[in-house]
Amino acid sequence: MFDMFDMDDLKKAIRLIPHAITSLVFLAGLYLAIFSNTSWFALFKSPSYVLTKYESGSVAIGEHMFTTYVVPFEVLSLVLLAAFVGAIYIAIKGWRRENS
Amino acid sequence: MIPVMYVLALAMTVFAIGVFGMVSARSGIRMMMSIELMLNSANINLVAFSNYHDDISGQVFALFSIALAAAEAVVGFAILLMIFRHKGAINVDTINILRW
Repeated sequence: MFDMFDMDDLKKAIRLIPHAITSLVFLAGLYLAIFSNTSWFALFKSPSYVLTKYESGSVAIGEHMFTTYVVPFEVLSLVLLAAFVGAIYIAIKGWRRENS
Repeated sequence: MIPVMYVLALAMTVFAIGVFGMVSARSGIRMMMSIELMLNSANINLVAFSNYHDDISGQVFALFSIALAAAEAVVGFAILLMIFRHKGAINVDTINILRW
């Protein structure tokens, strides 16, 4: 009878139950906080401002990114460069130690 | 026209799935995936309110947030790589080198 079930899988599933309860309580708290305290049951407005000024949404995003937000864009490129250089440095250090 | 509450409910649900994965994961890769889920639920909120307020800045900020999430993933995977080379496993139960 119990050959049908894999007991290890059952134990793994039982182990997940408190985590599931925790995250469901978290989700219920989020729903309660949002749906009870706010009253924006409004519909999405049509993007009138964006589409009258620009021909499409991506054009608007690109123009904002390269005019208003050009300094954060450049700072973000530096952040990405630093992250990549740091990650490659860490990876190469261990790789050299392994192969020497 | 989708009401903004539905999009917020989607973002909250994705965030709760990320929390569940975070508290129940034992593998480091699975933890990184859950972190990405939580960050992307925040991005859903940004895009929803950008559309709701008819302002394109929220979507530009969501793009910045995606790039920062990429940098975070790079650094996290480099750390996981070094942990795997030192310990031979990325099971987070075995990583207690920062324990006081």
